[in-house]
Formats: sequence, structure tokens, C-alpha cells
Amino acid sequence: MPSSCFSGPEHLGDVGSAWPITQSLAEESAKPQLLLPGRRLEPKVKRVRLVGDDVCREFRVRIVSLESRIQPDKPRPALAEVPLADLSFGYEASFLVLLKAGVRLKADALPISTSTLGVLAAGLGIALCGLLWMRFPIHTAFVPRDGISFPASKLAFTKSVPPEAAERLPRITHVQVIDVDADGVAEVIACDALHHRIIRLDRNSDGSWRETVLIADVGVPAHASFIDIDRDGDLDCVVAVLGDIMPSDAAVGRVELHRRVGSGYVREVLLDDVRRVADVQPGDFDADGDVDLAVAIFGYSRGEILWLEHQSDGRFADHLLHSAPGGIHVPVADFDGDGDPDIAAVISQDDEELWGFESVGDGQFRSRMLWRTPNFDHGSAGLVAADLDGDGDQDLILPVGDNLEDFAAFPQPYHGCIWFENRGDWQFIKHRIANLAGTYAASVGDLDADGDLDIVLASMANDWRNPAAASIVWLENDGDQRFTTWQIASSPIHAVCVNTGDVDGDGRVDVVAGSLNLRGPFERIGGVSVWRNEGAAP
Amino acid sequence: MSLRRLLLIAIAGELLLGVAVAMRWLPQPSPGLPASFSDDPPLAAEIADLAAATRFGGAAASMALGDALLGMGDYRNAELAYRRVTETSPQDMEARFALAFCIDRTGRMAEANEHYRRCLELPDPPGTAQSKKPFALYAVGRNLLRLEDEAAAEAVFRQNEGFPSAEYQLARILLFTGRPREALEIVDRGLTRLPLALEWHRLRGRIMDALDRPSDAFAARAMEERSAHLLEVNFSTDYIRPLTTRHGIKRMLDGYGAAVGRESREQLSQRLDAMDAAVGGLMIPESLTLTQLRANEAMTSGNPQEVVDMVAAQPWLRDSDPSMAVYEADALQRLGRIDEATALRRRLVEVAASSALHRQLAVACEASGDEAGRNQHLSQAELLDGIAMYRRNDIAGALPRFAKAVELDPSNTSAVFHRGEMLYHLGRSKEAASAFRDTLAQRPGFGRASDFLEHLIDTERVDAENAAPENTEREKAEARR
Repeated sequence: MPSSCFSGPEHLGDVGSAWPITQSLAEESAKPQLLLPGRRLEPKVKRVRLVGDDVCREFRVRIVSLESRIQPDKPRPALAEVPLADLSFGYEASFLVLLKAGVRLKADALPISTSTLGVLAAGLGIALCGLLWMRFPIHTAFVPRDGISFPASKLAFTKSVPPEAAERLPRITHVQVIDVDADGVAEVIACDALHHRIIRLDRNSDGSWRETVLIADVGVPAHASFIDIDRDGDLDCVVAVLGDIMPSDAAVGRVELHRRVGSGYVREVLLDDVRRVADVQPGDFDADGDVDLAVAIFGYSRGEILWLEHQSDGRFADHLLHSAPGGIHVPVADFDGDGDPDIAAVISQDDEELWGFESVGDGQFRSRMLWRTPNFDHGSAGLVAADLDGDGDQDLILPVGDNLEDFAAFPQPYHGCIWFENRGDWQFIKHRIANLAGTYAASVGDLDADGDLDIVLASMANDWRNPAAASIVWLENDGDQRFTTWQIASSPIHAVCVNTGDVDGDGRVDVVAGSLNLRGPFERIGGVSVWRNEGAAP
Repeated sequence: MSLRRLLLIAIAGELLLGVAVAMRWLPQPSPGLPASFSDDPPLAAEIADLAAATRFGGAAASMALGDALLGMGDYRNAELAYRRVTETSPQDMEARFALAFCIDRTGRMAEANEHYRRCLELPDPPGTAQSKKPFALYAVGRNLLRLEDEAAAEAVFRQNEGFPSAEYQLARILLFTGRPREALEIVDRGLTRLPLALEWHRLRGRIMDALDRPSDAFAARAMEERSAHLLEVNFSTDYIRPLTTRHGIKRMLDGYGAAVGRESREQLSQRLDAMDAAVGGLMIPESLTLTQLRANEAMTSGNPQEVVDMVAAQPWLRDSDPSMAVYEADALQRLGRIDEATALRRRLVEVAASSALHRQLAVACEASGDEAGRNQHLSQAELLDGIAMYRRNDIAGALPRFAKAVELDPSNTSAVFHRGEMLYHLGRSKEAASAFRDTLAQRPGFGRASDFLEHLIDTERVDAENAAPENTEREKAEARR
């Protein structure tokens, strides 16, 4: 018997009694005793050891223990080795043993024919393919590619956060940079829907922020417009009151005038018994020298666009302009260049439309649909009037990315920003200029001080599971309305409002944004955030 | 190298590859899971268990995982789970629909439509109460609209006859592509089946605008106000909602709601403790809900001081959550701190008015001898109750509420107006016109009253002209104009 060349551990473990070893017992005296199904013996192979030899090209199985119940009086067979070639067993077991032993395979030693090996190889290959493609398909989660994140801004911004910002789950619905007390320094004013108030943020000399409550107990303010409505030389505040931040068709909306009196404000309700009011904007629509108001009643299933006529007795008469739910913003500007203020409106609920209400004098309006999309999932989220191309007329900028109708938001391919170029005679040409996912708000300003208007966008519903997803970007205008998107921030998330202005008096246009934390993920939380523009990045 | 050797090497390679695949696949739950469950720790554990079960649990386990992920709004990982189900059970309509939905909501409309269309070929699962096929077909049309292909969408909606949302979209397409009369036929057919469907009335109003029939447009919009039925134009949220409370903290909250009235106070308190432990110090909306439940529990167990202490410890609760302020006011009332309770309610009524709040303030006014104030608040309470009934289309029930509101406070202009509105709907035109005139006498700028009155006068004039036999058709047309 050749000596063993195998240098591995002796005991390779039980292989069980399932080995279909079929050698006859008739030669038991001369050969190693094994297996006995033909003689109704039930051997239990306790341990089997493989013995391999590179040189002798032979494998042997050594029986280290064998018991027999039928012939208990016979002496136990000696531990023996048997050439592997003398054994016949199934493929699975043989490979199990080979793998366990880690023995280098000697092809000639296996008692398997070449054709059998071929069939085996082919079968295993097919099984493996089946394993890969049928039983264990490897899919990867869908990752949206466009509109998620952008190159870092070529302008440097320094972020600062006012004190209230990160407490609880802020619900900031509107921010603006405005010198509300006419002291020559701009403040940040925010509508705080969580605490039902309008707050004022003043920047301290050390760069920190000081917060004061400007107006308390406002039932979910959506928008605040500062205007001297009573012509007494100070800025009063007209507030669009939603009444309920959640979807509701109840008549909980209001237009409130908070008249500036001394150092405080006195409330006056200009319009009530209406549904959720999303926006109110001033304008003298009947050319009588006082301030009238355009009002967007978003509602939910029902809503309206109104204008409120400022009457001689100081009260306001409401006039219906359009009946539809989903009115978000009503920017006022002279869109047709005839010298009087007109009203534009974005409708975004069942219908996705832009409307123009042309002032034709004496408080009369001619309404016209400026644009619509059949995509009622579009998600128009606001409307800004600005002369983006500097041609002397007022264009419209439409942020697109509201998908609050969905339980969970996800970036959509039509999200982004659309510029409606005013071509005169109420013709507006659509240009898609950005694809930021979940875009919810826009503001314009010359951020890079090159003489043209750039745009800042805020995202409410980007792919927030991606930590690099942008929440604030700016669109650099090359002067010919070709825009490049630069990322300012990826945190805080859920940004729904944005405004631009010089908050630190350095002459550069800074960015202020607010977050509405209604839906998850509840991380990277913020309220009001300010990004000071530091000029060109190093 | 011999052929045998090559074959053996191939076999060994295949085995190694098999092991590698298994090692790659087994340690990772498939489908992949969100990187963060920071919003809901119990959900994390439950999802992990569900994911582990999918290794050997077959289609049912993958379906359960998909539903859980979809319920938490994780469309893309839910998609993987549903894909697995559709691969092993290609006839599973529910899984196919869910897969289509996940693809749909992640902005791949064309791909989603392939799966929705396959749903149309699959049998409904046994015992299905409502087939998903009309929804699948509707979703195909909706996605075509999202792709701004109105012509293709029109064809698809035409195939979905009898499904109200599809008919509604079809009518909209017809209106916006210059076929208002065809649209009107569909709308009127829809209204015979669902007379109080808000969308039908709204669309009818727009169609009437397009047909230059302002009086009919006004009448349609007046019907919007009392139409409580909403068509399922966007079924996304309704589809997912049942899945949202199956796991995590939301399941615990749902369980608490179901246990109220069935379990002892002690058991309910234990549930709250368990939820508190689950939420921990997380800044999530459910933490505020738990605070509300704690306040409610304290009030029902006769411990108002606990509520006052809760708010004192976190004063922001009072400002940020009207319901907590209501609890606090009730607690102060029970503790005999009536003035504080009344002051708080006076603030609250500016932020979140309700009938109950006005009635409480009426009691406070009465106690202080302020009868005018009492009547004003009671009038407001009647007004709000009446509006609620009106929204439920209970016109006859709402009318006496508004009448009572006017009786209590004749200067309540909104109540005077709504009374007129009820009379209009009841066909009592002359009384309605009188009420609108009263409204305008009080507040000349009340736009809706003015519009109603104008409409009534116009209708009366047209009716009179139509009734006069000597009028020619031409004169009638002029009168209408």
C-alpha cells in the first residue's frame, strides 16, 4: 500500500451514512471492509479521511471506524485505506469531499468518465445561470440621474442659521429680505406656520441672528406683503392666511391686514369665510390711487382667484376673477406694458395652468389662459414675475416640483424651472431652464453681479435619501438666457421658499430660504437659513 | 491539458462562482433596504425581519416586504421586492400592479405603462372586491397625460368607459381640445350617476364658460359648494394609505386608536409608554401626536394638572399645536382658572376657530354678563355648524342653523349670506334674493352675494321673457346675452 502523501488534518468530519458505497463484502478478508447493503448490514461510516498524493496520483479513503450490528461477534475490521477508484459515489458527495479536503485534483484519479464530466459541467453551468437569472435575480434600486445634484457653486456662500431654525420640525412658508422699518438695513421676515406667527430676523454685528415675533396668532400664515396700505408713511402687513397647513376644503382662510400702529400691529380681517388663502399681492387695479389686492385662494377641492377692491370707506369688496382650486401665487405686474397693473396666476391642482388677468380699466379684467399642460401631475409650485431677459417687459418664472398629492415625494423628469418669455400681446414662450428635482420656489437676483438676472431655486422634494441631493441651487444667466445650474446647499432639506437680497450690507445678493418639514425623512432639518454671498469661490 | 482536466477545472470554477454568488446574495437582504430608518426605529427592525424572510419565504414574503416598503414611501426598494414576486409568480396581478405603481411614481411613465398593460391581461385574484384593471387602464392614460400625449390618452380613456375618473379625464381632454359639446355629454352622463360629484360640476362650469353660457356656469359652480363626492382622480394616496399603518410607529398609533374604548386605562397607558420608548427623543411628527394622546389620556383620567404641567414644560406646544392649546384651556377650566382658560380660547379662536370654541366663549361671556358677546359667539357656532351641514349637502338641516345665527346676531353677514344660499338651493328664489340684498346692505363689497343676486335677477328676467308668448326667439337670445 502506498504511503500517504496527504499532509492535511486526519479527521475531515462525518460524511454521514448517505455515501452510496457499493463494494462487496465478499472480499472482506483480503480487502478493506466496507459497505454492505447487499448483505443487509448497516454500516455507519463514522469518519472518512481522504488521503491524497501528488506523486502517486491516487486518492484513498481511510475507514477509521466501522460498526456492524449483524456480526457483532466478529472482530472489527482493521482501519484500512481503500483506493478512491474502488469507490463509487455520487457527484455531489465527491465534490463535497474534494472541497473540504482542499486536495489538489488529479484528474485521472477520478472514476468518472469524460463524457459524464462534460454533462456535469454543462449541467452545473446551466444551473448556475438559472441561479443567477431566475432564483436570485440581482436588481439594483432605481436611481434618478438628472436634476439631483450639481457642480458646487462657483460663488462662495457662507451659511448661517437663525436660532429657531433647527428646533422641532419648522414649517416656514415664506421668507423675504426687506427693510421693514426703513432704517436702511434689510431684515429677514418669515412666515412661521408651525408657531402661527410672522417673525423678524435681524443680523447682529457678529453675524449671529436675533429673532423677534412681529405678529403673533396668525392661523398658518402663507405669505406676508408689506405695503403702506393706509398711506400713513409706514409699512403695514397684509397676510394670506391658510388656516390649515394640511389639505382642507374648510372655509378657514383669511386675508388679514395688520396695520402698523406705533411699534406694533393691529389686526383687521379684510376677507374671511373663504378657503385657504395662499397669496395676496398689492396693486391699484382700478386706478383710484389706493391699494387693492390680488388674492389666491388655494382651497383644496375648491378655490378661487379674487381681487379685493379698496373702497373709499376703507373696506374691501371682493370680485371673482377665476374659479378653480390650486391658486398658489398671483404676481402683479404690467405684463402688457400699457401702464396699469395686471395679475398673473398659477393654478396647480386638477388643472395645471397659467392665467393672465388683463386690467382693462375701472376695475375690469379680461382673463386669458396663458399656458396649460395636460399633465395634471406637473406640480407647478409658484410663480414669479421678473424681466429675466432685460427686454423691458415682465416675464414669468415657474418652479415645478410640487408632488404633495403623493404620499411620498420622488423626483420626476418634468421637475425644474420654466421661463415664460413675454413676447408681447400676452404671448408667452415656454423655455425649460433647469431640472432641479422637486423645485418648489424661485427668486431672481444678480448673484454674480454681471448685470443680468440669475435665479435661485429651492427644492422641496429632491431625492433626500441621497445626501448629495441639492436643496438650493442658483442658475447663472450668461446674458443670453442660457443657464448653468450651480449647487449652493444640500442641507437643510424640504426647502419651499426662497428669496434674495443683501442681508449683510456688502452689496452682494445673498440667499434666504425656508423649510417646511411635513414629510420625511426628518433629517438635515432646518427652518430659515441664510447663505451670504462671498463672491467668486477661491 | 487534457479534456478531463479542463472539464474538472470548469466544474470547480462553476462551483466557486456558485459559492461567490451565494455569499454575495445571502448576507444582503434582497431587495436592498434604505440606508436610514432614522424616522422610525421599530420599522427598521420589522423591515429587517421581512427582508430576512424573503430569502426563503418565496413570493408571499417578498410581497409582504414590498407592501411594507411601499407603505413607508420607499418606492424604489419596494419595486425590487415586487419585481421578485412577478418573476416567481408572473400571474400575480397585485404584485404586477404594485410594481407598475412603483415605477410610475419614480417617474418612468412609459416603463410603468408596460406593466399596467400586463395587468390588463392577468386574472383578478380570487375574492377581489374591486378589480384593479380599470385603475391600471386609468393609470396608463394618466401617464400618457404626464407625457403630454393627449391623443393617445384620449384613446385609452375611451377604452375605460364606466370608470368615472377616466370619463372625467376624457371630458377634460375634449374640452381643452375644442370639443366642449362632446365633453358636456359625458359630464351630464356622469352627473346622472353621481349627482354630487364635485369634479363633474366644476368641469360643467368650465364647459359652460366655453359655450358662453354664464348663467349655467354660475349654476354649476353653485352646485360645487354642496358636492361632497370626489372622483378618484389621483388614486396614489388612497392606494398606499392602507399600507402605511401596518408597521412601525404608525402601526402602534393605529393600534392605540383601535384599543381606545376597548382596553383599560392602564393598558392604554402601557401602549403610550411603548410608543414613547419607540419614538425616544426623535424629532418626528409622531412625537407631537403622542403628546396629544398623553394630554387626552390625562384629561379623561381626570388629571388636568398634568396637561397644564406638560404645556408649562414645553410652552411651544401651545403656539404650535391648536389641539394642545384646546386641551390646556379645558384643563385650566377644570382647575377653576376660568380667566386664563377664556384668554387662551380668545387667542385660539383667531388661529383655529371651531363651533365648540365659540360655544365655550359664549358661556364665558354669559358668566361675565356680556350678552352681546354671548350672542355673537353662539351665532358663529351656529354658522360653523350650518356650513358643515351644507358641505354634507344637508341643505334643509343647514337652513335653520343659519337662520338661528342671524337671529342671534343680525350683523353676522356671513350667516345672512349663507341663509340666502340655502334658500337659493331650495328654489326659494325671492327669499334668497331678499337675503342677498340684506347681505349687501350690511357689506356692500360681499362679492358672492352680489354674484348670486345678479344671477337670480338674470334668471328671473330670462324666465319672464321665455314665458311671454309674444317674444320672438331673436329677442330671447338678445335677452340672454
